[in-house]
Amino acid sequence: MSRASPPIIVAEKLGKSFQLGEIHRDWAARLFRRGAHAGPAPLLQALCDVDFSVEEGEVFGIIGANGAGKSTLLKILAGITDPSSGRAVLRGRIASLLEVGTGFHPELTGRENVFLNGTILGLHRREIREEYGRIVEFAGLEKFMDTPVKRYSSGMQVRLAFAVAAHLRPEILLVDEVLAVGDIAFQRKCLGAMKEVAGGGRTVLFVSHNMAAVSNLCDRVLMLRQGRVAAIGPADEVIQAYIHSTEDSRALDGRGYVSFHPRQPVLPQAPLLLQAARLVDEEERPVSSAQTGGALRVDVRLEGFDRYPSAVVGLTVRSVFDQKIFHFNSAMAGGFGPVPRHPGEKVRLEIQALPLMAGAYSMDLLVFEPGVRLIDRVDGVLQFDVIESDLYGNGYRGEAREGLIAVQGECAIEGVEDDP
Amino acid sequence: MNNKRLEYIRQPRRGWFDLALGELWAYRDLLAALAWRNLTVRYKQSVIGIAWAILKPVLQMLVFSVVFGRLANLPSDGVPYPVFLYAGLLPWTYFSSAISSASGSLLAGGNMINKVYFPRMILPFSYLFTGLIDLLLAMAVLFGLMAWYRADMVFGPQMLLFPLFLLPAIVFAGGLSLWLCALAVRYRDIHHLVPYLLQVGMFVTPVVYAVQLLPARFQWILQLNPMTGVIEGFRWSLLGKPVEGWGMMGLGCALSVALLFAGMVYFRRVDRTLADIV
Repeated sequence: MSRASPPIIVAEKLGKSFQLGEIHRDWAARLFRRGAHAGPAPLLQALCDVDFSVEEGEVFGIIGANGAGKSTLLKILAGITDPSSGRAVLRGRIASLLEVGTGFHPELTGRENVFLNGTILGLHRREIREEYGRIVEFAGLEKFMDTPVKRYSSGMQVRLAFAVAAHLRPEILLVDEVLAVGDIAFQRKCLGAMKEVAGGGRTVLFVSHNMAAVSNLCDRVLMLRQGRVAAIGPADEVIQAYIHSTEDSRALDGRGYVSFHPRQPVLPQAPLLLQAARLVDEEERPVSSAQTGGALRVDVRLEGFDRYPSAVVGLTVRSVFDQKIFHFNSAMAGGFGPVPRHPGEKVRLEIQALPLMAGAYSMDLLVFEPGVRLIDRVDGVLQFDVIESDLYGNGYRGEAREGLIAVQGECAIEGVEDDP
Repeated sequence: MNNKRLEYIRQPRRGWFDLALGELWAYRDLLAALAWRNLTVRYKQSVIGIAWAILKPVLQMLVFSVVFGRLANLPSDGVPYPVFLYAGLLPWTYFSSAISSASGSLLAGGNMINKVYFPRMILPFSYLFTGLIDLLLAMAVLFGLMAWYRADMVFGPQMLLFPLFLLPAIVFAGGLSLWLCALAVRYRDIHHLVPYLLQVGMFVTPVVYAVQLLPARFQWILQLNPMTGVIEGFRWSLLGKPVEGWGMMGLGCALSVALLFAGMVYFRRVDRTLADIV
């Protein structure tokens, strides 16, 4: 089959490097800095040999860990920054939504900001005037258009900004994590609007950490790892590869512990109590999986936990789509009882009859004082697989894609239903 | 239809003289929107609002009239000193406020620069237009002053020429702003330097005095300053004050055009890595 139209986006060997440290290299700058010797500055290779192409009408996802180069790639495509090597060709009008409300000025009213934001995104006043009514209606902010934006809630700002962008009628829409804010109803609306944009023959590039949104929206996905293309292909395949790759990259010590260092505290000046954790089986061997209906044993290493005698250690299990499935903590299990405490402690949490269908999951760990405050938390640190087991005793094997929770029950045929 | 599609190519930029003027024109509505934003934001939540645009030069005129007109008794070529002064203060105030706000525009607009593409030259340029609106408002006071002092007004065709003398002011302010704001990205020193540059600038420009105050053999230095031409032109077209040294002032204008061009070249150079360092 010969394709009628060439790909709408083609990237060839795109690369981007940043100079680290202080930048004093251009000629005018040297006038001021004569004598300071200009040694070769260290370079950070943020993107390297990135090749891909996107067909017209596709919704194309870009995923990867923090620092993998996703945002840099999007900025290059948007023209915000130039690549250091390679080239990309985009055929069509581009709108980039790297942050909602770019150029929103808090002192200006909603109406003034619609015009400002629209012109920043490349529209002419005339076009905005034509679309204005629809923009306001989409945002659902008819009553607030003469109020300064600084009095808006952040959700309202997002709605207004997205409304402007959704009415740009671009041929290519570049979107970066804008759906992270806003309430559920509006997120759905935005997803719907993006699909509509795509459905109208338009092309969407979507960068996100939200695997549910990526899987839901995208046809194909590109995974970046340390600035290089790690995988490219159908959405669900690449998402699965991504989930497994994050697992492999974790540093394990000899006893199977996943270390949480280095990291930032959840709140400024909060203590870093959580040190490392591992999963173990019945024979105390470190593992990376559990069985449906089996036990899930988690060892958590803590530092300074003895200073918080009323604190509770808990875990939250999440699906690949980042939904919380269940939470379990030491208070539910009756607390630790009156035992001598030490600065460096290991806590074991054990869940019996794990009610999860086979699939990939992740776990957050947290330490908190119930009803008082959160002391420490690490998100998504333990990745593990749940392996199918003969839970029903008849060979039926359940999978996470049918539903995450494994339940037990009965069935029977009770004759023909009588007419009521 | 695909043949007629816009095509954007992202690749490392090379060459010196790619000024992307066509793009600047395509984004003219943004220029207007930003100029308007600068103006409205400045006067939001103030009681007298845009009246400040008039009040500021008037207050300055009052202070300087007392100090330089009454106390120092500077000559003003037969025109009442306050009128003479105000006709010079108008273009100077425009110039200095354009420079001081435009020179920090790239740093202030960091968030926009990082998140969306637009021709970045629009940021400093928008302040050139904001200042023009202030200037036109403050012009009203000049006509009031002229009537009050019954100055010899030259109602004639030359009065219509005063906007023409704003052109070199815009070009000069634009050129200088491009240099300052591009340098300020790397050197925050510029931020501290600009107020002093402007203070000195005001005294090497005939704002509070007339060019003739200087010995004739030094006057050409003053005339090379493009703002001298602007102010002399204002006084000539509005107050009918005779002007000497058109040649030198023409050269000053030519210099400011060169400064603007060089500023654009340097700005585009800095622009390549702007989003990475702002």
